[in-house]
Amino acid sequence: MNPDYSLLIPEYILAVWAALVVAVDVMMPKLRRDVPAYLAALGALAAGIASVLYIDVNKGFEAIPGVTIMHVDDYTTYMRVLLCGIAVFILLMSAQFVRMRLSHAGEYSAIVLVATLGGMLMVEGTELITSWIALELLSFCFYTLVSFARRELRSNEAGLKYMLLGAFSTALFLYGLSLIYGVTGTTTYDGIAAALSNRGEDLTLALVVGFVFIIAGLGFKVAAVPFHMYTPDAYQGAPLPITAMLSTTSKAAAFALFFRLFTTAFLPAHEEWKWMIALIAAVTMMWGNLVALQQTNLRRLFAYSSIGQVGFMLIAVAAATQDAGSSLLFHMAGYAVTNLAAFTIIVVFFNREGSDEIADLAGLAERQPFLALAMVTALFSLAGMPLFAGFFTKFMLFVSGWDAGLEWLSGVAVVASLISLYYYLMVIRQMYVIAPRVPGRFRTPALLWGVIAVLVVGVFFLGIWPAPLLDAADTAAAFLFRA
Amino acid sequence: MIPMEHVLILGAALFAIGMYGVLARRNAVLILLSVELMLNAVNLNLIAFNVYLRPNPATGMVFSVFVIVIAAAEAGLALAIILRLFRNRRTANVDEADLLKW
Amino acid sequence: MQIHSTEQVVFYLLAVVAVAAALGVVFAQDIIHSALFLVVTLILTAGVYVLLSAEFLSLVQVLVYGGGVSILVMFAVMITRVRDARGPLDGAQKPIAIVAGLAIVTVLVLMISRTEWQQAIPAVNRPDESPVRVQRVITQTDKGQLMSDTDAIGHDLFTTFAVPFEVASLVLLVALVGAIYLARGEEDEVT
Repeated sequence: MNPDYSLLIPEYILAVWAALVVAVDVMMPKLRRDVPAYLAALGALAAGIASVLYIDVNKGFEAIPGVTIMHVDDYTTYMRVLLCGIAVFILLMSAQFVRMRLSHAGEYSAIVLVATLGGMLMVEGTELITSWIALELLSFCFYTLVSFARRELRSNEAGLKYMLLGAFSTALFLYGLSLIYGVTGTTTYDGIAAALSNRGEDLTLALVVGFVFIIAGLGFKVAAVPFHMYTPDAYQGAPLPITAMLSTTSKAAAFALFFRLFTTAFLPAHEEWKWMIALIAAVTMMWGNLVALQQTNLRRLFAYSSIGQVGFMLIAVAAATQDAGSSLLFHMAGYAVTNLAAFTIIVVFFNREGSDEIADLAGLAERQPFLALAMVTALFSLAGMPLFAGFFTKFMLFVSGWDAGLEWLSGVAVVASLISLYYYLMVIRQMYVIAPRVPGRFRTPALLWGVIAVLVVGVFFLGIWPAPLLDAADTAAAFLFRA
Repeated sequence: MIPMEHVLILGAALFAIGMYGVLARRNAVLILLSVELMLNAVNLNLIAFNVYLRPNPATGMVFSVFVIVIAAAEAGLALAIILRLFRNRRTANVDEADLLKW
Repeated sequence: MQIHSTEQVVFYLLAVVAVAAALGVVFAQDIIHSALFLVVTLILTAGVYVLLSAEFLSLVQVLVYGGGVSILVMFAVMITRVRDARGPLDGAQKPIAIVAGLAIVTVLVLMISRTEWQQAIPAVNRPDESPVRVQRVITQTDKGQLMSDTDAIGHDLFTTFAVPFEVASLVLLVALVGAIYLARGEEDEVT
């Protein structure tokens, strides 16, 4: 019996569309350089719509009978839609940026699409080789994209550091996978789970060492402390929209893989790895938020703030319950919307002023009140203020950690969250209290104005009426805990 | 007959040596070579587990085919980035690339 | 330690030289030497693969690393003229790296020797006598069993792992596009 290839239609759309974008770009050299990005955004939208059609589908992709290498269920659908949505916004904010600062817009947009494709495969993979190769696809796209501003030294440097550490983390991750394969003798998630639930006593040591390596490897990919060293550099050096993508697509996909792997394959050995992840989570959220206090560059600030957010999301992985899963998915969506809003604002500002220093934001409220107000919304949401998306999503995460017996971790998270409020307020103070360095108002381009408005509305929507998305996240997470 | 543990220990030794190389070297090409050593250790593990513990099916060997593919692609892309950095700055040492804090 | 067969003698020889060459990779003070040591290590591990009856992989290893990767590295070394670079090849963090390397190898060796690997074999196939031995990989197909490792890899690669195989081709494509884009000189650029 042949596997059901129709489960992968969104992936086909992305792959074909990526080729199409490059072809259009090559055939029509006179095309304005922002057109490929808009074209690619359409492709991401199409793939997102195609993904919606899989709601309530619950089917494994059986490569050969008994070997399910991918699974399309509501968890997959939720993440697919999220990833496609992120790609649409990234491409929209890229268009003008690419036109002004980069060459080869076709390749750029196509690689963004392929990265999304990699992320989608990471989410649905239920077999180690498949998931890992999808992770590599995403990573390779990012290695290229981070160094895409090839004439800028910063971009080269960021790309090199990101790539070398990425390769190193791949090696660690693979060593861990090889040990898991040795202990369980299989690479499918359900096979691993079965083997782990009746494993021999004397295999535990190999298993624990394997988990250490896998967590270290994935820790690099999601940027958890102490594996985060590359993050601020990559965030600062990469082309700005790619920074936004690093903080959304890459995190969302990596966490989706992380959560699926640990809750379906490794759940029978929960006691063995729970403490490791809880420990890393605590260190990550404290370190990320404390170091963020000292940043003067907006992008480095966001890098450390995203490290702090990773700490919060790791709570869910450590807890590994269905509630934790739904709050993780929910938080991911809220975080993505908020971060996209913040980065679109930074892109507008950067396109206009060519600066991403916090000091240069001075007096933004006077110069462009709309941007400043939108930025305040995003920052309050990131800090977790009530009424904004971040409050509810974080709250759910902490509660799920508390319920799973990680009370101390939730306590640490609340403290870290309070610390984060301080540096977000510093940015707001810069915009509202300090007098502008450069006088003169400026306008936001209409399209980006619209994008920001949509995202800000999204932030409020999730903060005030979270029920619909929370329900979706709940159904999605339930699929992982069916067995 | 070779005991499986000895093959694994060979892998562990190569892995640790590679890890030392990644941490100690400051030249990007040398870091890359050390990563190749680590990936090679992974392959030894995968093949050993495959032939000693689960000869059916050949999953470990297929896995190592993929590892070799990715390792080669990684080397290609990383060298291109190193080349680019060299063009712009004339160095291939990671700690001389110091525009960003390391 | 008792030595039972020529196979074992060959293995220990290969292993000792491979580890020595690997140490050469990370300690050599000339980048060309490092690259050559790497080729030696990788070809010797290809020899170990033969002993483990993985002939196909050993061939791939020699072709990809002995041929492709080593040439690529040589080119990179040549073009970037790393040999003329000033300063040592090792960073200041060398002592920490030594400690980390030793710690890792100790942990791994302990883990490997303390683990009862027999238990990883499903009870039905578990051999009575310890230790476990090398077996030829096989793959079950509709037409029976494929006995050569090349057959088995080929079969699994194009049935079970057909999708990852396609994804790997995408990875290569992205790496190719990225490498060409990044490495190519620009029209207005002096190279």
